[in-house]
Amino acid sequence: MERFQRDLVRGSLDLMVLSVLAGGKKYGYLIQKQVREASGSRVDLAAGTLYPLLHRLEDEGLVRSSWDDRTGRQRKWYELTAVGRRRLSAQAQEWTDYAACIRQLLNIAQVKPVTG
Amino acid sequence: MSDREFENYLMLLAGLLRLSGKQREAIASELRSHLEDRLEELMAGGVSREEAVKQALAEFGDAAGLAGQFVEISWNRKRRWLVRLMTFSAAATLLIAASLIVFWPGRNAAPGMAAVAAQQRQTAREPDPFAPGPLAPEPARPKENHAEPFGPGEGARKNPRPSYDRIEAELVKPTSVDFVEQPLKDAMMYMAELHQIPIVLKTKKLEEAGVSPDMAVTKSLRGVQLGSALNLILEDLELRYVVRNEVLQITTPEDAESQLEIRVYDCRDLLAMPAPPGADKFLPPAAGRNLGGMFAIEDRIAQRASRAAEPGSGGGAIAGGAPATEEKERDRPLSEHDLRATRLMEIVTTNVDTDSWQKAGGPGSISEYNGLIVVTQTAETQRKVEHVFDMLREAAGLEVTKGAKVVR
Repeated sequence: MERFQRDLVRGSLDLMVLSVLAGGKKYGYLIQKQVREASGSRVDLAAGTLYPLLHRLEDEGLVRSSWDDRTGRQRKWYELTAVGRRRLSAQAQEWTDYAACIRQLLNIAQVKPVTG
Repeated sequence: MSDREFENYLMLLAGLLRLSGKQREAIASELRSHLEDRLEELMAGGVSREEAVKQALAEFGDAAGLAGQFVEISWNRKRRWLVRLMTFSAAATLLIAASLIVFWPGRNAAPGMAAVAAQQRQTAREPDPFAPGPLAPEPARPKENHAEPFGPGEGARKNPRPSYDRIEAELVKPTSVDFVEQPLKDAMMYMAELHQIPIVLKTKKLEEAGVSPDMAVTKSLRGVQLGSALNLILEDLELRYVVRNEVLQITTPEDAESQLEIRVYDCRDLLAMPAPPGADKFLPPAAGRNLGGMFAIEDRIAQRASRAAEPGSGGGAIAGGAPATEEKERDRPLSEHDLRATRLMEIVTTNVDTDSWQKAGGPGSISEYNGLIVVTQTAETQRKVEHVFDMLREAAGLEVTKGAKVVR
């Protein structure tokens, strides 16, 4: 399957990472992997994008990090803060509304997505 | 082998980070664990080690770009803290003022009110919500907090003019920039941050000249001196920089040249050095021929005579005296020192911004006293003068840093 268009992905990267972290503490590599798997490889969150993004989310107080080497390797683990959780719900709501809006518009236009 | 390649990449990246050592190390080790995980996974999938290393690194993209992103995040954080700090102190001031008005003892005359007010004031002063932040957002670089316009002001207690010296010292340090369509103000903020010096855009002057602080700057330079880099960037916008009022100002050429500054250059080393037969190699050809020996003295006497003959010629700027003293001086035998000093000043006035000296109708002047050369000129010309002295020292094998002490 082809990857999603870049512009489409760019606006929702924060939401993707926050969603993945909603399932518990994770380090960068796991986050990347989970996004890839959840999207059926249609979203490839490059490491060069992911880490600056994580640092930014941390600066904004949406996630917090801690170092831990219990997995055999010294890793930086990220988890959602309360603020991050609230942001996630807000963004999730917005995204659902947005998707519904697009769906509605496509219905009106009677455009059917081409599969395959 | 993989390790080395990863380490090379991480070192390159860390070198570009311009953050505190601790922050750099944290970023490097976070990325290292990712690279190692990726390497394992790729190799488990049957990719050769070499290929896996290559791929893992390629996925990170170029080190410079990545470093730039991290650095930008760190700046944004600092900027935010500054804004919060200012908002907070404004709020605190208001609160204090309000409690003073409401609880002023004489006003309500209720006993105990003053105590309440005092308490209130106390709470207002405690920077509670921001305690860990504004006071020490980054332990490694605490001096940045009282950031003036863009950069820090060094502690002004030890040295009476530390900012000036520091800025001048920073101007000759190598720098690297890579601006692509960067607004001028952001580009300058980056330079200020990178070199830890205060840079101010004189927005009003720029406005008058029709230059916006958001003007796009595109420039890529590596390893050139900060001063040259600024010149190259500002040249395109027809702007100049000048060190004034303890900050580096970005302004219009007119403004930069509107103010003359006086500097004293200690040239005793240059004037005292022995003059071997070949030592005139650093003089301009026409003047060099006459250095030293009887020819020079004759030449000098002839010059004096001609100057005396036409008093309006403005030669006083070079000799540093009014006609009356010139008269007196003429009777005094010319010392070797005087000759050398005059020659040295001529080198300056004939090589640096020739039109800007008084003898050419310009505003600048130069005179000498006991080996100290006093120059009144614009900042830019001063820099060139200093450069000439440095080059002379270099050519003569004198120590450049020691002799170049500028008393301003």
